Amino acid sequence: MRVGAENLLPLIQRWFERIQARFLRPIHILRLCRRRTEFFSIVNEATQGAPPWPPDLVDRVIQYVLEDDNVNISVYASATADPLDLGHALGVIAEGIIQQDFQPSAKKRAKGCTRGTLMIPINSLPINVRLQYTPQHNLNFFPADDRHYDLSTLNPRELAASILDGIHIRAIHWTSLGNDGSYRVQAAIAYSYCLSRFGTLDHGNPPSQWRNGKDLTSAAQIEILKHLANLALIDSPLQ
Amino acid sequence: MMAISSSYSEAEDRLTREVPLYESLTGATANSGIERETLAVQSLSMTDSPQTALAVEVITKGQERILLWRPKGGEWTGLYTSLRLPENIREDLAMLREEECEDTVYKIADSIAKWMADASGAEQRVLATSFGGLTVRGVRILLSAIADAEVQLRSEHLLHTIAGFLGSEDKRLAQTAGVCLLQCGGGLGGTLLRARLNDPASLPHIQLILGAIHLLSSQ
Repeated sequence: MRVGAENLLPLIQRWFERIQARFLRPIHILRLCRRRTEFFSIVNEATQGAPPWPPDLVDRVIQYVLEDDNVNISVYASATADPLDLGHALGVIAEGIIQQDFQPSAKKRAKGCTRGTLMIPINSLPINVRLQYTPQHNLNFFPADDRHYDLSTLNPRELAASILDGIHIRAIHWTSLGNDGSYRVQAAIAYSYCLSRFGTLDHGNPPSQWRNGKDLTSAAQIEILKHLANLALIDSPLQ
Repeated sequence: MMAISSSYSEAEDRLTREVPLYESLTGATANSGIERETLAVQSLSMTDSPQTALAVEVITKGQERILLWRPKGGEWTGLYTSLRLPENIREDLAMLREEECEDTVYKIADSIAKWMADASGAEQRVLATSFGGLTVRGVRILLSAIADAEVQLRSEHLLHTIAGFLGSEDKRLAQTAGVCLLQCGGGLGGTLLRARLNDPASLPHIQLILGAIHLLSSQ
């Protein structure tokens, strides 16, 4: 891409964003839950109940939301708690892009791609939770690299209880994504952002700055993103 | 005994003819394993196999299973046919009954849910007859996997079976049954759910079920 005057502003903006990401804590973090029905029951019981939380509910947050980890829990930065926020969309796609059902060759598009998401305000987390900026740990969707953080805690039960508290007082927003079109919307937001950042997206000729992932080449990432956004449905159907 | 070797359609014809007899003998009200829900023909299923009758012969022909049976001490009275689940699904169900590790249970349940997405209503119906042999945890995880995969449930019998779990003492199973009915059960799933809510005394965790409905409808 030739760097003309019209391209300088986005480059400077990206530079500032990277500096900001490295040195400032995000305002919200996104955490995805792959078991949507278990996620529903956790949200339901947190909404209906009240602290102190029963141990079995805390255990389920650790199991299904934190996935039994207390270090290097993958989260993505989001400016707001809005499910149409760019940070939410990039995180959703980055988390799921490797899923087999998302491949363009899959028999049905995005079958079983259901997720629950939590948009957690950073100030609702326990004070001893550590957030580390780790773009290198975002494995297979390059545009989300700058949004990726690792969350670690010495006390996962305290973290789980704070998540339940946040859901209960509605400080933590949540969403449910599925085949009703909600997943496609996330892909469309991410795709639109990639267009503005990289220009035309041709998986046969991916942008040079879009790095390959651990399991997916840059071309494959672009192809899957287009597939998830259902671009073929609306783009020049007679071609 | 000749019926054992008769073809599927002959067996079905015979079953249809003799349904009133079976009902009079057993009082069974569930539909048969044959996909006959659209025909509204009443017969027997494995889950409500009557006390008065004893299945004595099982013949497997491809994907079909034929049972010849008679009342205890009585004459041969009839024939029950049902589809036979694929071998891998029967193996999955057997593992689901015995597996301890939850991650493995989920993997098995995901495999069954994936198969269910393309299964006929008749096959889904036969699967419903297997729920009785599962633990509470096994049923919950299977229903959870079905709901996560957004499987379209086509069997009325299966939906009735799932609706039965709304009355579970296990709060997670009761909620999961509600979510599964709403997300996968279409209009009938919602109808069955509302019907059970009209009898709150039968639902130990009715507040959580109502909460789950509210969460899903507020989406």
